[in-house]
Amino acid sequence: MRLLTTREAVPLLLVAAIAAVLPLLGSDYYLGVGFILFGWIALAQSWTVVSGLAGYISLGHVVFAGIGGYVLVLTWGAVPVWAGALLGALAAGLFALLVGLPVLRVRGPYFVILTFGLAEFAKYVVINIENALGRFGRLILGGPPLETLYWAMAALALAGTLAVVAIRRLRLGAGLVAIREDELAADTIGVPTVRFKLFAFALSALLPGFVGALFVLRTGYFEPAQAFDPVISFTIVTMAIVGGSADARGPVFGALFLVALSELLWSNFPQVYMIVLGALLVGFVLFAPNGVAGLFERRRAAAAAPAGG
Amino acid sequence: MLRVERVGKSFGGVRALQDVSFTVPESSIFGIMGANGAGKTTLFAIIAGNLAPSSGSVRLGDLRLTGLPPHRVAAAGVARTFQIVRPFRGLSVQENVETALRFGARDRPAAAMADAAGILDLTGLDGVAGRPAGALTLAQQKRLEVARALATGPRLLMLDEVMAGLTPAEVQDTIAMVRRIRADRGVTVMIIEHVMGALMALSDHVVVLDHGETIAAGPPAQVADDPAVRSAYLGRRH
Ligand SMILES: Nc1ncnc2c1ncn2[C@@H]1O[C@H](COP(=O)(O)OP(=O)(O)OP(=O)(O)O)[C@@H](O)[C@H]1O
Ligand SMILES: [Mg+2]
Repeated sequence: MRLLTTREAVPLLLVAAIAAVLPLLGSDYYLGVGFILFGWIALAQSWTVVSGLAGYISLGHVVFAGIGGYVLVLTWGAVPVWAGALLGALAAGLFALLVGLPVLRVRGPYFVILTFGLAEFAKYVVINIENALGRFGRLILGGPPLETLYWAMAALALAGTLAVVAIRRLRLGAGLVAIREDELAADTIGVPTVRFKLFAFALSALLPGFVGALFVLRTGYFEPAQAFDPVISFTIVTMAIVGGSADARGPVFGALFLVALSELLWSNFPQVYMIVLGALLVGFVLFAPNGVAGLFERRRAAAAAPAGG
Repeated sequence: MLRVERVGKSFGGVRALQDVSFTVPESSIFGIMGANGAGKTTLFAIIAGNLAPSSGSVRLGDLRLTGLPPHRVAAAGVARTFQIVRPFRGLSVQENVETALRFGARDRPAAAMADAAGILDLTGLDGVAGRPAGALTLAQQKRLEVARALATGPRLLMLDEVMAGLTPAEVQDTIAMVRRIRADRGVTVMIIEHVMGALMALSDHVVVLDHGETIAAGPPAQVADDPAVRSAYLGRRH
């Protein structure tokens, strides 16, 4: 087997190259954009594990980022910053393990709705806890500088991309894809479906927990409605639709595309941004259901097919 | 090797199986006959762990299969095909087989197929290995069912109407294939068929189900002469 196939090498090299180049531009603006871009890549790769490979479409992935951010502010001052972020990631993974068993019993649209509802529920629980404590947003002062956060987020994006590449090669990945294609048939050929789904769900929560903690460190405050904002979940799904989610390329393409679009349009023409986004979504769903990565695949297949075949 | 003991199954009011018992000898080809709705597929689903029986139990050697989830039954060396095919549509034929090779039986028999190429060759799918499973003809998808089940390295292979809808020539090919699977790999085969001649030609033992009950069992020649079979099964269908 080759060390890396093209579809594995492209996203890894792309993330590494962007991470190396942006700081050379010598402006905090680019570091800030890179930080956001890598955050989305890490989120979208994590989502791909359970939703792209196993086909369980989560519409509540923000809950893991929210938990990560919340644990960071709760432990702020009590433990070192990075320990707090790590605890946030572990808490998100633990939460996924706890809710996973019942949640992963439902499939298709029910799973979509359930994950969305669960994230909203978690948001209101945290809002109520904060209200009961008399806290309306928490400030974080003296976090790491932007450059440090930039490199940390780049590492998460690379870790997420590497994770998807690795999982796809492992027995775990083969089993998850079988579950996506036909769960009953997968079980019947010997895939331990319940265990694999739960493991994938917990895995897909870890990095988002970390990302959520870094988001809080970057903005300098935690506010539940923002940390658990469902728009974050929607955006992850949009990236997967635009980029594809069958392998590690899709999330990178999707995140790049959406971040570029938002940088170009959002600040200048916010209304146009939403219209373009909506049109793109409809267009991709109708004409390129496997995203940009799928379009490459189709051209390759067309080129490889024998004439008249 | 496989013992089915007083198995019953009801779906609400429908009694799909009642008090069915038999033993499948090691390395035999074991035929199951019965009219539409007799309970044949339900029996396979219970053995494979896809359905829980309402009563009774199934054992493979010393191991009680009843109560185990399907993937544990597969790990014990039992594989089935689906009468209504369930390929991994988005994957290529090759990937379907490779996936099954990575799971399935924990202790593969020494002679078990370990390579996708050999299995695709045996099932006549070598020419379409790269094609998405969803793009195959139904006859090819039926063969993919066999290929994927074989790739799990089973000791017991359950084939559910893999000859349905095939031309006579394809039926002959399939008969030869089943014989080869048993001869080369020592796999025990249970086979459900409506194609009577094929079943009689292949099987060492036959069980006939009618409305969920066993009405006859034994060597094919003896079962074919059984008056109960003639009236209940042949009489109604032919
Ligand atoms: N999941 C189910 N829910 C309700 N009834 C079912 C279910 N599966 C099977 N049945 C019923 O149980 C009976 C036996 O069905 P089964 O599919 O086992 O028959 P079969 O012998 O395989 O028939 P065929 O030759 O048509 O494949 C039928 O009456 C069928 O309608
Ligand atoms: Mg049937």
